Amino acid sequence: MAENVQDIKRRIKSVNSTKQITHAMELVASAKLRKSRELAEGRRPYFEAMIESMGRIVEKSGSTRNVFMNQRDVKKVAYIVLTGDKGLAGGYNANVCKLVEDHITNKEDAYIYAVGSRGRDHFRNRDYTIQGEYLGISERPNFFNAREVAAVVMEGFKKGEYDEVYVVYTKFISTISQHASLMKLLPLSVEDLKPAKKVEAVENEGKSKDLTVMLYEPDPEELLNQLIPNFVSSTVYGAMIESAASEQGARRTAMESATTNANEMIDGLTLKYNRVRQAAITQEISEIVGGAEALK
Amino acid sequence: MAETFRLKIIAPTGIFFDDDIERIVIRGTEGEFAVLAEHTPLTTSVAIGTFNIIFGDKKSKSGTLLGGVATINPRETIILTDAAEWPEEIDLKRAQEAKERALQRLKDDKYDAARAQAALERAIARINSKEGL
Repeated sequence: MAENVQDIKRRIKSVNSTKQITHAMELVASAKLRKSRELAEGRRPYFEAMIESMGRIVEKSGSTRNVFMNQRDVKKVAYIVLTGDKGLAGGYNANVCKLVEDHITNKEDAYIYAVGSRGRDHFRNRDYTIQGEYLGISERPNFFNAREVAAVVMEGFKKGEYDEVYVVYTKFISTISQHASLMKLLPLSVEDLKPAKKVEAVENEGKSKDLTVMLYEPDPEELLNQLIPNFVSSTVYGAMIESAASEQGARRTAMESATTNANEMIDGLTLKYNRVRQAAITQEISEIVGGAEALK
Repeated sequence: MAETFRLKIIAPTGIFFDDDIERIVIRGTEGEFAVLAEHTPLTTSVAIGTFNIIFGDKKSKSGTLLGGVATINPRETIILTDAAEWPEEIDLKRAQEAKERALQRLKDDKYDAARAQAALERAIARINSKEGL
């Protein structure tokens, strides 16, 4: 064995300190993951209640003439790309970026809104049009961040700068499994807004007959105008928190396997170290014995 | 005891309030109004401002709503708001600073007037709610 004892010792030490870092990151990520999941769960009641009231308005007014429902021939497409600000999260950032690249058919007609510096850097280095960047919010997004992003893309959609807007985020399936997904944000389709719980509504019809004379103030059209931005913001917000949870999940998994690998490496190195040490001792003994033999 | 109804105030971050109450006074975009039990079904938009809840036992509680939509039914009222706060959660100093900043920005053409106006309304609502404590 060519390596000497000191070298191996030094390597063990260095792997060990890396292990400590990855282990600490793993713990931090699990703590953050818990928080992000709470946030994600907290959003649900709002979103459901909103879809319900929007659905009711759309149904009542029967109008689908809102600007944001305009289906146009798709030429220019905007993407809201939700990535993290930091790396070391396995394939988390790369998966999202790859999904966007695969979806883009024409580089010139794609506009990127990057949330998180990883996504921004990725597309900037490949000469895509970065229309907007939002840094430092991916880890703890709040509703106002989401509303800001949503307002910008809605404005662009209204002006006809883009014909479609997608949100690309990472779906949180479980702590160990996350999937990059693409979701159409605009134009809104009427189907999205119709209440999903139709069957239940029919069953309850007898009970809730008095609900049929719902009044609207101001008129439904205007209320819808107010609700749609909220709906879009809330969708973006949902994607943001889900991505945040996924980022932590991905990082935790990545760091967990890094820690395991480090442990394996340390075990291997320790074995090697002992062998080398043993060999050195054996050699020394045989030298002494040899020397003693010679003196006889 | 007067009749009560269910009030739910839901913000994007979670359920803010969910309890039986007797009356709520909200600032709508069309003016201030009160909701009692057995109100006609109504959907209306909520402005930035304070609200005041009176419980069945006459205790009252107030807070701030930063805009949204209220769906009123005879037995239940659901308010979807961008954000809701109790006075004790409001930082008066921060609100005052925000007010100053918004006023500054309103004078300056560089900033978006609508956004500054909204920020100003939010700050004023917060200050009012805090001082009404």
